[in-house]
Amino acid sequence: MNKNEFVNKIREIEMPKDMQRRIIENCYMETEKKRMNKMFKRPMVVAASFALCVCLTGVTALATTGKLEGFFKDVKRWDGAVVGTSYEQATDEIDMKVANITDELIVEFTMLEPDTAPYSFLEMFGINEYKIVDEDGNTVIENETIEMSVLENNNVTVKIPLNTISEGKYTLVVSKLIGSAKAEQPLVISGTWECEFTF
Amino acid sequence: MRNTSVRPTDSIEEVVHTYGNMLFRLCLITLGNASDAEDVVQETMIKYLQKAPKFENGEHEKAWLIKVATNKCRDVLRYRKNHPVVDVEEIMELTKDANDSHIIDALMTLPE
Repeated sequence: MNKNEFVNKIREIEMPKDMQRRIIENCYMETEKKRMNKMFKRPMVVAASFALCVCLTGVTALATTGKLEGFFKDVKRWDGAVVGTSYEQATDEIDMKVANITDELIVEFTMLEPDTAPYSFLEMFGINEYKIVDEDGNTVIENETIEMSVLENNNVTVKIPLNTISEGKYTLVVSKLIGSAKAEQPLVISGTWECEFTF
Repeated sequence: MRNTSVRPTDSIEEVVHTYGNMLFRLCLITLGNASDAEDVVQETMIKYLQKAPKFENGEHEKAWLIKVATNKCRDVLRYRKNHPVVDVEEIMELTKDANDSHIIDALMTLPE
């Protein structure tokens, strides 16, 4: 192999997509960790600073962008070892609406920031935790998961069975979604999504 | 006077997409394995987020990233030289005797 062939072969090397995703996720987590560590360096004002910062973060984010921003968070085992990642506070980054009602509730999710992590690398999407509440506030359906569907054009349609409820007005409350990329560990995405429907 | 600032975390995706392949190639050739290369690229990106100066142009930014990655690769190579490791496969070779191979299997099942 001559020098040019060697150089061309090297130029063909690319970083795998899952490696890119891991690096981006870890950078987010590292930045978050550093920010939290700085807050705890002065023990005399720790509690007050933390409470103030949590409030300010929410208020500032709302004031500047009109919405809260999501962030990655470590999932830790009982002994403190990091065993995974979750994505929190994603309420304003995903839109949920009822698309149709038959004997199933057909719900459509739209990624509002498809070019940013984690939405830029998710390929499948589903519901991880939801409940259906009636007009009186009673939970009539409470279930853990709905199977993932393929994400297409930043949208995904999910079907929730309704065979156990009677006619009436209800509210679908989703607190956790789940997304995955091929051959990757699923990512739980937390937030609060609600929509009303009449069955 | 150098103007240092912490960059917004969102900027990391653009940097990874723009320079990730180049840095990965550099680290992979220097270090010889993808895991170490990934670690170095990640550390470079974290340093970019936390300590990068204000760049005059794209070439300046690229040169800075290459310099940081190269220095980190040197650190890894220096560490390897001072902390030689043995490949697990080599240990397995030593226990070709059937009486001893179960010891390695048992060791491998121990938690980290």
